[in-house]
Amino acid sequence: MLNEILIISIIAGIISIDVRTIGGTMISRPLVIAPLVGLLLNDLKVGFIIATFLELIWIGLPPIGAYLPVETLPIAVVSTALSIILKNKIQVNILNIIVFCIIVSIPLGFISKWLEYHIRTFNSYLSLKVSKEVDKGNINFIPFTQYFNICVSFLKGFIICLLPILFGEILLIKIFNSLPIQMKEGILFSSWFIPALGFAVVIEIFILNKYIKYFFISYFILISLLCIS
Amino acid sequence: MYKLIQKIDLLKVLLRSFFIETSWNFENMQNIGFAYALLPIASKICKTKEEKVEFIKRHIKFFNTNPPMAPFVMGVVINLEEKNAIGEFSKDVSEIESIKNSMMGPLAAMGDNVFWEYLRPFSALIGVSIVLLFKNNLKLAFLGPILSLIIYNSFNIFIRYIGIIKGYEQGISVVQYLQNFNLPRICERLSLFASLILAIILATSFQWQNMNIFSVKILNDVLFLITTFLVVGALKIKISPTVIFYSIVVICIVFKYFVR
Repeated sequence: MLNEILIISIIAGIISIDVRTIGGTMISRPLVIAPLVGLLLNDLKVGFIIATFLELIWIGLPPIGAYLPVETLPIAVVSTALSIILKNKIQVNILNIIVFCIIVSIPLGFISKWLEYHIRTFNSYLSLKVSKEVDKGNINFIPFTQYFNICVSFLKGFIICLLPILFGEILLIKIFNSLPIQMKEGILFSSWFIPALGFAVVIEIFILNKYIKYFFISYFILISLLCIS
Repeated sequence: MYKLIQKIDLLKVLLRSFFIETSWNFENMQNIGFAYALLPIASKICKTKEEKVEFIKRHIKFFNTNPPMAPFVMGVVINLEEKNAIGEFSKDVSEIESIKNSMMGPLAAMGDNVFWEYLRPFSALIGVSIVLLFKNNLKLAFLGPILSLIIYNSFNIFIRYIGIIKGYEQGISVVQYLQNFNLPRICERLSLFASLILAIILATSFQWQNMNIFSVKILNDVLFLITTFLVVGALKIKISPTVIFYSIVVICIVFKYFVR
C-alpha cells in the first residue's frame, strides 16, 4: 500500500505544477485527477463518483487577479485515496464513506490555499531580487527563479497529499466507528443532495439569463416523456 | 517582419508562455514569467550583452493579464522590439512599454470572461454529464474527462497560437483582429448549449445509486429541482459553496435525528 500512496503523491505533485504554473490546462481538476487515482488504486467507480461530486462545486470561483480560489487538487486526491482505502476496512454503503472522506478533506483545500498565499508573498521578495540581479547583468537568474518555483509547486502538492493519506487511514476509521448511527445515516442521506450543489453552481454561471426558459421547457418535456414510458 | 526572428522562435515563446504564472507574486504579478518567455527573443535580436540586459530590464516590470491571452501581448512586443533592433521604430523605446501596458487590461477582461467564466465551467459540465450518462459502463465514462480536456485545451492552445503569430505579424492592430472573432457571441451559444445539457442530466440521471426518498419518481425529481434552485438562491446572495456543502450535510444529519 505504501508504494501506491507514494506513487499517487508523486503524481499529485507533478499535476499540482499545473494549478498555477502551466496556467491551468484543466488536468488538475477533480474530473481528471479523481478517476486517475481510482485507476491506480483499482476502483474506478469511487474515482468517478468523487469527480462528479467535486468538479462543479468550486468552478464558479476563478483565479482572477490576486484572488486565490480553494485548491481542489488535494481535496480530490486525498478523498479518493482515503475512500478506496477505507472501503475495505469499514462495511457500509460506499457513498457513506465517500461523503465522509470529502467532508474531512475539504479543509486541505484551504490549507493549500494558505500555503500558496505564503509562496506568492515569498515570490515578491524573489521578484525584487530578480530585478537587482538583472541590473547587475545576471540574466540567468530568471530561469532559475522559474525552475525554483516549479520545484516548490511540486513539493507543495506532494506533501499535502502524502501526509493526510498516510496518517488519515487509522484516524478516520476510529472517527467513523465512533460516530452515532444518526450521523452516519445523515451523511449517507446528504449524498443524495450534494449533486444539486454542483448543478446549482452551473445554473448560476450560465443559465440565469434569457436561456432559463429553454432549460425549463426541455426539462419538463423530458420528465413527462420519462413518466409516460 | 521575419527578419531577425524565425517562426521557430515564436513557437519557443509560445511554449514558454505556458509558464507565465510560475513566479506569480503580489508585487509585480507575472513579470518574471513574461521576461522568461521573451528570453529566446532577447538572445536572437540583441547583439551585445549590454543590449540584452537592457531588453530584459524593459520587460521585467509589472505585468498582469489573463494567461491564455498573454501571447497576444508577447507577439506585439516582439514585433516592436524587432523593428527597434533594425531601426524601423521611429518612436522612443519607452513607447513599447506603454503599448504593452495599454494592452493588458482589455485583454485580461476579455480572457477572464471567455476562459474562466464560460469555457472552463462549460467543459467541466460536458465532462461531468458524460460521466453521469455512462455511469454503468465505467470504461466509456473516461470519455468525459478526455473530452473535457480536449474542448478546453484545443481552444486554449488555438488562442495562444493565434496570439503569438498574429500579434507578431499584425502588431498593435491585432486587437481589431481579436474583436472580429466576436467571442461574446460564442459565449452565448455555450450558454444555450449548457442549459440543454443540464436539463437532460437533471431529468435523466444524476444519482449514482438507486436511493429514493419518495417511492414515486416524479416527487424525487421535483425535490431535487427545488433543492437545486434553493442552492442557486443561496449562491446568489454570495454564500460560498463550501459553506453550502457543510450546511447540506448538517441539515441532513439533523433531519435524521428527528425522522428515523
